[in-house]
Amino acid sequence: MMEFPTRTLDNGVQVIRPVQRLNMVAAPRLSAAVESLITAGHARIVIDLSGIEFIDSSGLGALVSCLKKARQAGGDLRISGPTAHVQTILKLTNLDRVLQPVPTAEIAAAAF
Amino acid sequence: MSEPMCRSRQLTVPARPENIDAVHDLIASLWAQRPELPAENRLRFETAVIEVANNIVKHATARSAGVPEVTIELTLTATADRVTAHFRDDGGPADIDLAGSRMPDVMAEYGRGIALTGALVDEVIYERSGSANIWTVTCQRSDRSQP
Repeated sequence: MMEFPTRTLDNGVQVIRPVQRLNMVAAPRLSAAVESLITAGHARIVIDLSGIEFIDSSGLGALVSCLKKARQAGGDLRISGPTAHVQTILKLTNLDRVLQPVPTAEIAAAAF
Repeated sequence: MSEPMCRSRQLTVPARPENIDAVHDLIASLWAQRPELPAENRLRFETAVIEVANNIVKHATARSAGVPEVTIELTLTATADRVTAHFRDDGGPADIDLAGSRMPDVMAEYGRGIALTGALVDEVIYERSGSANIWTVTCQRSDRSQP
């Protein structure tokens, strides 16, 4: 059973939406959920961060891990909708260079 | 009227991943007492405090042979111009180089915690005291001019 709400857009892109905290407890769960999408043949993925109020280095590590797995499977991974604080964390860690956030999942998916 | 002098909150928990949420809750209870603290300060402080708690939890088992279970004591203090977190744990010594910590490669999956902590708050101090590790995290209010 999927722990995070997931939807499929018209172009087949999967959108997964974790909520509240992406910390050392939630991060492995998100990685596992994304891995099961990839195993099921869905390697074009958007992580919708609009419901995330808190992210730490464990959460950032999970995003990088998911990005690598999607690319290894021939797909890609994008992020959408981060709050101002999550954007600050992405910037401070330079992760915004490889995970450039866009406002909505639909905008992110259209660029695949 | 004079401002309330100082507010503090305290927590003692085993160093386990499931207790990280208790640290988040303790921070939230401090904000309930100090609702005037700017949101950006709160989020930076909370992230830095959680990173230190993560570090203690992650390394508690590996470094602490002989200690049945590492315990974290956390005290949060808010004054008019700053918030401070004081951690004490009975795990083994932390192998930490705060001054030399750098952000790893963007594609690294680990190793950002300490560098991120230093980038978020005004001061992070680690010291070994007897058989305990002491961490102090300080965040000055950004809307108050420095004396």
